Amino acid sequence: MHVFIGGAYNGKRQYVRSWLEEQGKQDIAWLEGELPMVMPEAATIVVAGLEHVLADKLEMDEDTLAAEFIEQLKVLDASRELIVIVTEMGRGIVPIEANARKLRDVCGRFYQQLFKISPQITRIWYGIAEPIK
Amino acid sequence: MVSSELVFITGGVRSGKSAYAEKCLEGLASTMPKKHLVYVATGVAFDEEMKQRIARHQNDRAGQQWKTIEQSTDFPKVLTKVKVGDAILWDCVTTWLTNEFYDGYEKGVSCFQKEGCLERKFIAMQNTIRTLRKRSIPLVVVSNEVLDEPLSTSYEVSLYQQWLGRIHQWFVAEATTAIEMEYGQMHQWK
Repeated sequence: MHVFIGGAYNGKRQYVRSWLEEQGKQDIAWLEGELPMVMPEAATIVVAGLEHVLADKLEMDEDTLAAEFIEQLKVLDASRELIVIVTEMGRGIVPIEANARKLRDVCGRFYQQLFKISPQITRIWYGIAEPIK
Repeated sequence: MVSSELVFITGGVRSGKSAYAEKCLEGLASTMPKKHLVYVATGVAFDEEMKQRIARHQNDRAGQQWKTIEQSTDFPKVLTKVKVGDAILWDCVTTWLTNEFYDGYEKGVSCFQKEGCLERKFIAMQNTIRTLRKRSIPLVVVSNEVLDEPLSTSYEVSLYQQWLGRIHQWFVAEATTAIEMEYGQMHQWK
């Protein structure tokens, strides 16, 4: 598993696309805003925009929700090369809207667990990559 | 001809980025025979707090050899106000973008509502930066880090965030040095 994290509009997807291209990877299933429950038929799986999936499940307890996502990612990671792209959102002003606050908390909880299980983590800052794990 | 240095600095509010940027420009200018430090200010004093904010920044620069150019919009105008031997500190991109975003508001239509308006301003700004660098004028550009939080649900704000991200990516690609400041701690990405 390899996690890429960075703020919004920082060029994360573009970075991952050219990074995969450089390695000559072509058999890729790119999933946007979806946590695949059925194993995609591709050697490499890119799961991006999970914050949108989390946003639809905010009524759930944040620990249960994070654990559920982590379990499914582990399943995918076990038989495929898994790349997860997530958006940083915990370093700004506390949002005025309750749902936005909840989403920030849920993402924070989920990212902590994701960082724990992923052997490789790269931060993207306006197109520049830095390994943080 | 070799282009001059372009240092791009971002950071959160009160992260120490302006003070660092000023030191940085003084450092860049120290090797120049005739150095004139030019501060390109973007802030418009629309309320008391903003007046104090601007005064504090001016006070920080007082006593040093700084010349201030007020350029809230229309960045290319800077070209007519500087000369070879100047070194520029532009503080900051976020305020400039806000000013350009709402340019035309008094006449009923803001720039962000007009097809291609922001695109034109962005290109003009890019060309200005490149021209300044070709004239061997070193630049330090300051911006704010506002993209590490949930995207706004407002169309206007998320469009602003999208533009800011695009502009930051351009600056980082173009810069000779790119720095992120976090409460006085600097992180050099490039």
